Amino acid sequence: MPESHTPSGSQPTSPPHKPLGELLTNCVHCGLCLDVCPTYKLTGDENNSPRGRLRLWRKEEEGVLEADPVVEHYTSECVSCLACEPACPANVPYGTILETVRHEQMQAGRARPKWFLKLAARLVHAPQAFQWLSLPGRVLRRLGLLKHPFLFPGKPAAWQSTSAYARQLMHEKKPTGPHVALLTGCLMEGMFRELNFATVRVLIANNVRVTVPETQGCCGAFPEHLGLADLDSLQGRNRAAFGAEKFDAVLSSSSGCGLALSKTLAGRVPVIDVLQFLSQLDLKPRPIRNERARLYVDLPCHLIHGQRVAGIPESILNATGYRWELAPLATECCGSGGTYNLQKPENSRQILARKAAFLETADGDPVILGTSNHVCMMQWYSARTLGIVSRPFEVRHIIQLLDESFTQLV
Amino acid sequence: MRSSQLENQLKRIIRHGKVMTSRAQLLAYDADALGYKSFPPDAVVIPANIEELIELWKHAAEFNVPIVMRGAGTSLSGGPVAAQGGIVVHTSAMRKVRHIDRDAMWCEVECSCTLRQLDEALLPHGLFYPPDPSSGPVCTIGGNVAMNAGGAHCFRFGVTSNYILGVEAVMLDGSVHRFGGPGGGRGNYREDWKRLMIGSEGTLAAFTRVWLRLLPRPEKEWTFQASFATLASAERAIHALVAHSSYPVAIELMDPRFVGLVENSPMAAGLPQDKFLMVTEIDGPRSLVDHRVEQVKQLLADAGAEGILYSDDAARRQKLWKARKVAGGLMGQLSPDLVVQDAVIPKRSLADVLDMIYREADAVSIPVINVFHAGDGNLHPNFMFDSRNPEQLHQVESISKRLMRKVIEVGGTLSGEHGIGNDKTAYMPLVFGPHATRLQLAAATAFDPTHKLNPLKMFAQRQFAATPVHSPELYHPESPIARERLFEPFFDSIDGIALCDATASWDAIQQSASAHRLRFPLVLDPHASLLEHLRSSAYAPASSRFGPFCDNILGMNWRLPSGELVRIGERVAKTTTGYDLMRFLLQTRGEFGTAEQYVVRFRSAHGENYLVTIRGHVETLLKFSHTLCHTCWIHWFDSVDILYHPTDNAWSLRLLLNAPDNEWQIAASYLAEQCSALQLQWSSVETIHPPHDGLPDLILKTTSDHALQLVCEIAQNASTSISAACHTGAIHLFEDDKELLEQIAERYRESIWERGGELHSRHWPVPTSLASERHWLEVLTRAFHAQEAMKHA
Repeated sequence: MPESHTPSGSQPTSPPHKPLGELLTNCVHCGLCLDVCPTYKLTGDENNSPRGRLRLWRKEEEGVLEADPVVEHYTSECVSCLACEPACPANVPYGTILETVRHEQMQAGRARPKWFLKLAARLVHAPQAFQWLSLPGRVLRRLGLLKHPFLFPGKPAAWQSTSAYARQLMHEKKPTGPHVALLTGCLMEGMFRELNFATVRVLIANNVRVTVPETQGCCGAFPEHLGLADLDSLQGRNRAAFGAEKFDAVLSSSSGCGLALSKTLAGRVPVIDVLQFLSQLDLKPRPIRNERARLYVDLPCHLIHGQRVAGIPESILNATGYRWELAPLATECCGSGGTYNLQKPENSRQILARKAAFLETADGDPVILGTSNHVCMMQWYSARTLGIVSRPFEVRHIIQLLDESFTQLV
Repeated sequence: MRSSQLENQLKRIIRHGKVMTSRAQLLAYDADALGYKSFPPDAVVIPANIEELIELWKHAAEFNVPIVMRGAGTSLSGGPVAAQGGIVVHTSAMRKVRHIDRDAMWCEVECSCTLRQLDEALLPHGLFYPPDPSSGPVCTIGGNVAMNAGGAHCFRFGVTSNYILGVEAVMLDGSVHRFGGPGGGRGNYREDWKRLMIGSEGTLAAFTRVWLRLLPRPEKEWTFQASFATLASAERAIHALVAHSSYPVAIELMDPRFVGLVENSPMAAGLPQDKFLMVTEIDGPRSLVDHRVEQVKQLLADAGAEGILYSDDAARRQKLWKARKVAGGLMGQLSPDLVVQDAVIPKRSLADVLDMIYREADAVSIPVINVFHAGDGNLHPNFMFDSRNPEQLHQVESISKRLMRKVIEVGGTLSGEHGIGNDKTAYMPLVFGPHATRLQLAAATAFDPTHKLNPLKMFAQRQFAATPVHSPELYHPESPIARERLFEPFFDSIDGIALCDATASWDAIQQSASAHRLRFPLVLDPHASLLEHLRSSAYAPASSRFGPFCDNILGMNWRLPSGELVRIGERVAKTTTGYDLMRFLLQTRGEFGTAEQYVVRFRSAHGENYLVTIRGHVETLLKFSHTLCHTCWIHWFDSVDILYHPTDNAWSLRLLLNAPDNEWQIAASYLAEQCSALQLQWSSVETIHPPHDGLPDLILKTTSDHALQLVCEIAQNASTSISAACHTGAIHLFEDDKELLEQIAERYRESIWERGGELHSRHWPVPTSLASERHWLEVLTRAFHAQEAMKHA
């Protein structure tokens, strides 16, 4: 049973209960965050860096600067990749500060997210309704009729929920190993349910007992990204859902959702990325299934910077049956940033373009871009659909590749 | 109104980049890493490229406000901030690595290329750029040049100025000058202007491109960690390490307070607490460095170290260094503000100065932590306070002031690697007396008569004024403590630094050093004085390992043309205090005065000088030297020279190693292996004096590959004795026929200048100055010759 989900040894910042003003003084203005920040690298503007934003927020907080639209602008420019947190020697809880500032700006009417995002943020409070409303989307996507630059192809089950599927498979396979709960995620379950199914199959194939609590709700990451309030009710729901039974761990196959839930369940039950969990189960390397194919692995920001996990474990990647290597700039942000690619499409596209450039000439037939977060998958897929990368490539979740690997044996 | 005017003016020039003038946008640019001092500019400009930056400078005269260059803004001394308002020019868009020459080991980068970016680019070539300030992941080359940055590894490798081959500088009139280049000389300029540019803190020019000297990456590294119950035992270890043949790249000391802080942070590295902690690192060829591990361990143990750990494991080593390098930021967890002082002191005064720091800080309850480059005596006391509390601020400032007084008293200097900025200008009169201040300010006014560039930095007198200050002699330091200082005779055997007469022969200097197991490896003619050496060449064979003479001479008592003596430079190995007149004047030819005494930096003597001569076909010898120069063995040979002997039309390769016998055996086996692969035979191995070819009649300095090409050409066409340094690219010619020398010079002048190299003969008169440097020379000459003003002062 895995005990720790932070092999890198450094712990993610737990939300400190300090006033904003005090947290802001932690920054000594050393500037070590500058060059890990995607928007600083993009614009070269120090206002658009963690140090710059912290400076602006502090000036506002101290009353040196009155509420200024410029501050709103630079706050909204942040991708929230959290790359600055591990780079910060003074341990400034940038993510927590950003959330607080966004929340305050929202409360004061200084930030205005797009209407459809606000609507979606409301809907996540009603998970059943969310799933019903996304049913047409699932059906059309399954039929290959739903076209959108971000919607990578897949065949999600239209009717059967992940929870029902897990029950069915548990009944059939009767695993006896560790008992875990799975966080399904709103969008994952609504649109990309095939990823959840794959996760369930891989876990059960490895003798893990999987429960998918039906009463779970949104992890809170989505409204948090937007600075919206009322996280308490979401957190309360999940504490009840994941606290109803004794689990060895709660697993997530999306690093952003996992990070948000880990804050909710802090001190109750460990929330672990599914690939990290699987890496403790001694998965054996698989024979290479296609000598010409090449898997390029990208690391989601909220996995490596947020959850402070060193990366996707080698044993897991060896078990995919592909020749793999880390994508160049694998530790840099792809520009998806939760809803960032919808709110700041131009920035997001430019950040992606820099990172995706290697695909044009990358070896492999096919070339597969593998990651472990559905939002990153959407972003990478858009590199193809928006013409950022002209050569064809596939975008896959590592759990899907494991699924193919294990399904052949199950 | 003024702001919108400025904005419009700037936007007419900056069409592709960014112009920012809103108050909020300017606030992010109000400070560097000395975060508590706030100086909002009137505008911030981010030029899209070098061309746009030059365009802006062509219009500089139209702006009646100061201009401040800024890289990453990570300096700790209040450098790239608009202390008098004006325009901050942020160079963040100019960050390309333009060219890497693996063969000749140099690269050309744009000013905002970060050190990390550079390192990533150099890695596949097996090369590296040694200076490593703690802000390396983000700080820019332009900023490093401006502040003459150092870092932990500078103990062995030296600071930025040791690695700058050339700088492209844009002057306030928009003119663009390339001072040096890959060839590392002065080009066709009369003087070596890049020496003044390095460490000028953005007060003379904007730097757009920089040419850097690179080294082969070490094959293997061992990092040691040791705890010491007392400072005295740590000092014993420092002194022993400094004298040891392993020549550690870094010797870092952290006080128990710092260790406690690290261990309570996410950077915890499992360090033993309540003790002084030393981190030191040795590197080199695998066989050599592995051989030294036990010796270093024993040396630490003999000094009284406890809990000695050592590792060649990359992850462990990195963790150890990371904890050390993020020191500044970590303090943020303890207090809102931080001042890091950067004084360099003679190591013999370490206990004395540290004791004073603790005593003063504890007396007023200001937390202080010391973590510093112990090998260099470069202290970094970190004072933690809250700038919102005026009393604390006052206390920190007065402790700093007393500390600086003490530092100067013991023979140290204000800053080793952080620069003066606006944080230390108040202490400059402690260092520079009236004459020295005048000369310093002349360097500034030569290029920028109105102090438009980064005013109030380095010297408080550098205040932006609407009208030009053409007469630097009018400046008088205001502080009553200002007095002229001179170097008094001294021999510091701990730091290996001493004052020597400029006319003393190398032999005499060497003799005084050898009693202390020290040596001065740079020699051309043992009977010639240092002054004569410097007049004939900036390089000696041992420059291959220890750099040119200017890297081995730290200070001078300088006789001005008026007859007055003035102190130039320092008596410590590392300084960023003021303009680098030391390096600039060292190679001048009498026009500004002459050196009376030099502060000479000796090196530890480790045993015999093993001189290896290998004879063979020139191409095979060049192949051998190429291989040697591209491995980290080159860090250990004092010199690697290719020699042409016209009498028998023969070539030889000459190597010199100063090492204990057991290390010589290791080197010998490496050489034997290489020789056997190339079917070369050693002709001789001698244990003698360093090689000395005599004072050269002509020196050509260019890139190493070009130099070796020239050597072959010259040997084909003229029967002249030649010695060429394979690593430094300095060619020494020995020839009585002055006409022939002229012909050779004429033939190769253009190709050498093109590379930013230089050529020079001690027999030639001072060359004519270029029109573009005439004004600078005039201002400097006036200041150096200003007799009346001096009498007045």
